[in-house]
Amino acid sequence: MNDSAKMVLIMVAVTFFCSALLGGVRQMTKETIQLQRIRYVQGPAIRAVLSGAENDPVADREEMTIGKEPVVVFREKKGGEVTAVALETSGSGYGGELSVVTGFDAATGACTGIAIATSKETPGIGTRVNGTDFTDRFKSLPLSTNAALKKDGGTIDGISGATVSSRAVCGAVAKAQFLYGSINDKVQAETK
Amino acid sequence: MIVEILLAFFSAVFINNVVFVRYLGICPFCGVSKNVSSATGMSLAVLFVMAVSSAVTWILYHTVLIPLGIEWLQTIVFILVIATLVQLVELFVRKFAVSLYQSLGIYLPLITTNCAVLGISILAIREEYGFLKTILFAVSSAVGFMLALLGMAGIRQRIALTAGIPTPFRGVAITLVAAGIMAIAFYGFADIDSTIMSLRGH
Amino acid sequence: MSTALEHFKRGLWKQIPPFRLVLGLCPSLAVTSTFLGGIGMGAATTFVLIGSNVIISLLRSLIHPKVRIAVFITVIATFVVIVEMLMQAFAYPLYQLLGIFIPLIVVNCIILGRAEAFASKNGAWLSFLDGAGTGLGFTMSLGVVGLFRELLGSGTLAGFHVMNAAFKPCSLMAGAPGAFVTIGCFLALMNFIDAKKGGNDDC
Repeated sequence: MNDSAKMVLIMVAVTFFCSALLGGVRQMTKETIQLQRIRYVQGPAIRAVLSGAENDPVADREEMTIGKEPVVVFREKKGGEVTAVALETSGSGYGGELSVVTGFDAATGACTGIAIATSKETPGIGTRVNGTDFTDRFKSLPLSTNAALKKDGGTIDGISGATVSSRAVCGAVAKAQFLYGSINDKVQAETK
Repeated sequence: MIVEILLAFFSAVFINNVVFVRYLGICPFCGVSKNVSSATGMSLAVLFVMAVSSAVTWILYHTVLIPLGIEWLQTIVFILVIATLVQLVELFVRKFAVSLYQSLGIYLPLITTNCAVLGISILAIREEYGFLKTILFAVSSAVGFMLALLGMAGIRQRIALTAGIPTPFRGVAITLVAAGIMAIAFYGFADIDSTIMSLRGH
Repeated sequence: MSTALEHFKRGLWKQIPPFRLVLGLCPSLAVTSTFLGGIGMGAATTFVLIGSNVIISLLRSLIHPKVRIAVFITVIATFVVIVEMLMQAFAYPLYQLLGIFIPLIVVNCIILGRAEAFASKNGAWLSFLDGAGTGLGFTMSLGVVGLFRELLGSGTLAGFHVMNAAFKPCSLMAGAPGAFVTIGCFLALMNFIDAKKGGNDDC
């Protein structure tokens, strides 16, 4: 076998071996990685929103299909009963995608609070929407009232100088409200 | 729009300088900064490779890796692209810019292992930049690299003329200490972009 | 037998990266703002070093000189992707801490350097020892620098407040200036120690 053919054969063999190894490790770790990602990237936000949980909302998560979208639903349980549900949605912020976890009271559907999971907003400006003085403004928002900034006809005060980021958060929460509206009855049935 | 582009450029060159803030490209930074002429040649080569590789890797990532669901193979695909690109650049330089080829010597193929090149390509993906923004980011970062390299080369040329560096520090060690002092200077640029942005309001 | 042990020990002092084997500076500067970051990066690099050294050593008679760099890079990159996945699965916070420098292990000159200088010319067991020793040495170096920078820069060790309240941390240490100056000084220190010992090493 001449030199060039040998070279190519070796390269192909090495590539094949490496791909097999990679594929194998990938298969073994795929699910664990997904769980870890939820735990550590969205985890802090979920824990902040479902603060009264006696269970592990991440372990108790359920993947539902609402409309045509797959949505992961996190349940908070107290004394064995479902007290709140959290959904993660995203909005378009100034620097990119902004992901928000919104909590809903299981009995009334009102918002129990929100937390920002990931954001690419400008540090010091857009990141001010991460703080509780902004996120607290969403507490007790009824399911029937769409989350929107006051200047957009809604009830939420935006952060001055960070309108785009504030609007993105409202958009994400409104989306969550819409998705929750579809499963509201199902959740209420669980609380009884 | 123009302000955004200028801000992005300024940010990549000064505020998030590739060497002094992002810690990328240190090996060539120490190795090729002995005199200004080789530093210039290296910076230009890196500029070219960084710009082209970030463009190519971006295209590959968005047109091949994502649709096939193999984004997790990003590292291996990107480094192979960069290695190939550097090989091509080497062939080209050897034929058309022989003096540059001779002055860069072994440092030309070593651009493959320049963590700045791979690092900037990966960063552009992680920051979710668009295609044009990626190229702007790559070019600006390379200019920042050039700034760092030329600055250090100028300093080292001066220091070489005035001896007195304690023996243990000669070579890489004193370069690093000098870099540390330069890094403090670059601290002065931090947060300028967010200040400008907040003045404009968004 | 004694030669085998020597190959292992060499990475621990005589050719300890990044101070005597002056390679792998980028990660050394970037991740050593904390002790755990340094150790974590060292561990990940050691994993890749051992893996790539062994595989390349096993393949050494088959690799044609013209494609050897490409083969080295492919093998090293494979192990880097594996360590990326393993870290995401079993040590996610470390993955978040080390960030972009995990995929950058693939261009860590230490690994390519050992593959070229040793693994492509020696047997699998010796290559394993060489990789393990070099990796362990690198981990120790990063650990020491990380310890130094974290203690002085934040007053903590692995996140726990260690220094008493009167100590005002010098945040420059935890940042870029501290990184450069610390590694520069450690390097000078190693040069000094080496010169005193009589400098009988090949480097």
